[in-house]
Amino acid sequence: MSDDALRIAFAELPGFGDVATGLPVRIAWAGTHLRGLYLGATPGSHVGPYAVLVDDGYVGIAGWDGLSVNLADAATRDRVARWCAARLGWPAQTSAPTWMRTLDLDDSAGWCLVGADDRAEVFLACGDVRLPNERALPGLAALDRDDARTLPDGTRWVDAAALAVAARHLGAR
Amino acid sequence: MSERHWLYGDREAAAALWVPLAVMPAIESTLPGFDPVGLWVKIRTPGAEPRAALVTSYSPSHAGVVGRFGVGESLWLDQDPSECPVPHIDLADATTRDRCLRWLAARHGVAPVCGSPAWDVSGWDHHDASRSYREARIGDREYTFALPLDFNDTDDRRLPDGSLYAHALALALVLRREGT
Repeated sequence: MSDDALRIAFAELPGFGDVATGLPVRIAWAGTHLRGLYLGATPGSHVGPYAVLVDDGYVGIAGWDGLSVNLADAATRDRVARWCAARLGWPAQTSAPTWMRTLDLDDSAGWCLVGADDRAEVFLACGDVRLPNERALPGLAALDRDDARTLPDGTRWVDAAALAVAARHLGAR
Repeated sequence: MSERHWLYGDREAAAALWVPLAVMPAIESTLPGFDPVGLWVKIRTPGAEPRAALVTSYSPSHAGVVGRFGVGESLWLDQDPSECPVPHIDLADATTRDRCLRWLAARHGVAPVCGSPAWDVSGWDHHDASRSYREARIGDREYTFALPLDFNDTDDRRLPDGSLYAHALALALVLRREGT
């Protein structure tokens, strides 16, 4: 199971650093990786550097480029789903948008971000886009929707991987 | 909803969204198994204004928090029980609501899914032989929770993030009842 498929750098998600406080993060530092809890931007800075509480209790300052999150973590998935919704211009709701597979009705299989008030954005693995809320994401074609591998919390690895693809896409827009 | 009304300055309404993490001095968890690490909490100390802090480690009997305004500042909640600050989660915070919904879903055997369970509050009154209530639902299985009939689901005041205050309040009511 590829950990890299679920890992997203802060640099790939514009503005995510403003809403990521409290998430577990990985910090690239001196040729190795440290793990810690993201505390937020340091006072007086809107673009970093960022403070990270490393596992042993040490508070360090990490640069923007070195920080990443892992969608194997449920809280991180929720936060990224909310970030995706905000990126799409959706208003905030009580609960985070749901990320789910679309129905296997035809060859336009993919995943869907579903919010309250019947909002939905569909991400299709291949190209036959018909509706305004659909978009083609070639990166999804590399994923097998029937991949049964699960994450430690019992959820499907492939669903988290698809969310990572969608988030990167929205971040690059 | 034609116009948005924001929840400015109503301290009582804001405090209705706070749910204690533990009961002092017994230090008994009010939300068994709930993991608040990474969440902002309100630290309420008798006679003092509540202050915000980020939970960096926690156990039902021992919580460590670090203040947002003094990175590295630690507050260990193992002080004299009569002076012990009590951490409260605040459902005005979206991240806290998401974490609570996952906790609630797990508590009721709803299988975990990739995305957060949806929280929906019905405006309908339900009357059956034994009780009258309004309804909130979680997840695809539509696990239902009864709300008091005087719960005002037409309250259209908004939290700072733009979401509905009444829906967060419904979650607070359910959490208080579901916990110890």
